[in-house]
Amino acid sequence: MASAFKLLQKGGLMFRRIKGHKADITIFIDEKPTNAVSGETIAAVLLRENIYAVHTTPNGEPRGPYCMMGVCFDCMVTLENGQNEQACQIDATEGLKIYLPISDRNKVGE
Amino acid sequence: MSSNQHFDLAIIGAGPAGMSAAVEASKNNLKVLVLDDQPAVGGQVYRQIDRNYPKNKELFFLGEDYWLGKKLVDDFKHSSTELLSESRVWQITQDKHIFFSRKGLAHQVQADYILISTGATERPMPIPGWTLPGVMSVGGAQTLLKSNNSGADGAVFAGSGPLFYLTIWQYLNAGFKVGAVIDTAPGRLSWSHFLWALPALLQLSLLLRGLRWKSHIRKNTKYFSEVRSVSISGQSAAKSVSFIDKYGEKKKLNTSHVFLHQGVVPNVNLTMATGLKHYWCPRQLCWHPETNIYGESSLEGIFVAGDGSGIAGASAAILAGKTAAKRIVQYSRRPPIFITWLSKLKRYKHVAARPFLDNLFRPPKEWRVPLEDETIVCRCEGLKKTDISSAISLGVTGPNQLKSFCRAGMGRCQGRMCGLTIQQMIADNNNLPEKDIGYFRLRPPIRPLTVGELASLADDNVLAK
Repeated sequence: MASAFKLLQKGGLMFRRIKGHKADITIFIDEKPTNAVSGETIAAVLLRENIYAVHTTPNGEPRGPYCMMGVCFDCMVTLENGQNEQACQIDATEGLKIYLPISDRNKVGE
Repeated sequence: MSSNQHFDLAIIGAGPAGMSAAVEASKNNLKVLVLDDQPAVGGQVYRQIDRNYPKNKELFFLGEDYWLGKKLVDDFKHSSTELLSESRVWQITQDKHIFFSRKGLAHQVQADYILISTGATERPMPIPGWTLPGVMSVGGAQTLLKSNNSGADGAVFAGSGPLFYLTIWQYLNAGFKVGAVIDTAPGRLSWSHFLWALPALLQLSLLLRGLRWKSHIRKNTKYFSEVRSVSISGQSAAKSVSFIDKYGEKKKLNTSHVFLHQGVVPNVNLTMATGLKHYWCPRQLCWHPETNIYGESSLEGIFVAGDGSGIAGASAAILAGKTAAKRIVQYSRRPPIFITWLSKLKRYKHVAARPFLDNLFRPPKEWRVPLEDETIVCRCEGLKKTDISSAISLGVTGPNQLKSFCRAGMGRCQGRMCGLTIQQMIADNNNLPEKDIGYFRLRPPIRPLTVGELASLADDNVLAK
């Protein structure tokens, strides 16, 4: 879904914090170091990084954070231990590593 | 099981109802445990209020109703209640064992009384393109404001309801640019609207607040009323939103963020999976667990309070939690004497405006069941309306039978995002009232659970000190 990210980047209007954002920690999204504010949810970090598509449905449609309260399960990411968690239900902590299921799927397709 | 895993009262959910019940019960010396799935207490209404509070000047945009929650959170923190955050309850048995997962491990506790206060979720609004990345629910947008202090400039809001106007008002106050507001509420008021407006006057300040939000929105945004046929298009992400305005003119707006809302409904996954009796509420168009004025459900010792038992708002939830806790204290200790009609009267001033609001923002069918065959209904499985209606036309009588035809509602959200739509579709096809169709049969575990997590139950000592 690289095209989706590019499209959004072109659109330019992404999520931003009200008073700038003073990042104080680093998390890793697919091994890529990303600035974050401690205590914000992983889903919020993803949205600010323009990552709107997180995984795909069985028929290949992209899905991303929708409800932000643990109901829709559309923001599922994989943790380092292999466990899947809803990105809107976990807080960013220093050094946390998360993996996007959609990246795996794209790799398989390559 | 060790004694530290036994409680007088276990409460699921630390929102307004759960917190006020915990405060009341622990004041009366009950041993109380609260299980909450968020990292911080407050529920959705008072989400992250504690962390936001010290900087209240710059976050003042959230409004007075939000800050009212601070006292409750403080009282809760100062009570003797034991709190386990990030605990996701996946089963409650009828003998009152509670099973939950926390940080990858499963645990169980037992309680004499259980209060389920799991609140509300947003009603799905299945319109073309609602699954595109960049489209979110209005509640989701509000959560991003509260817990992450972030928002998106240029977003388009589509829908109606109290939370809809509140969130846009907060967005404007916070200094975000709102792309447009597409109000789907029908413009014409019927006699029943006016009839229900009379008791609603008892909650005049609530109504005035709503009117203030709305007039602020009309003044400060591109506002379209009585809109029909909203659809979102884009290849792999939202790019534009189209609709027909009240003059019948087709409009198209470019945006990469669309926020949708058609009101809230009780979150019934846990109450249904626990086996509580539910009834269909035609006014709110959703299922409610059966409770009496004290929150007692159809199963002895299990209570339900707050929006999870019917949408009534935060102040009613605080009262409901307190009332349920008092009842539980009474059962385990005797004292306070209850006068049912007095409890009802006390509650009334918090819910007087509710029938009026329910009628005013009752979502017409076109926002609950898609008009177009190609619109997704079941997000998880990617099933379109046509997939589901062709399965239904084979003679499906209820949502459970439908599962074996097309897997609708069997994805990881377990029907949370499609249940009400599917129920309505079957009702329409079979010409039966919604209540006769029923809902998905929900069974534990109500959240995805790994075998590894389950196995960890064997050496469980979450509360051992």
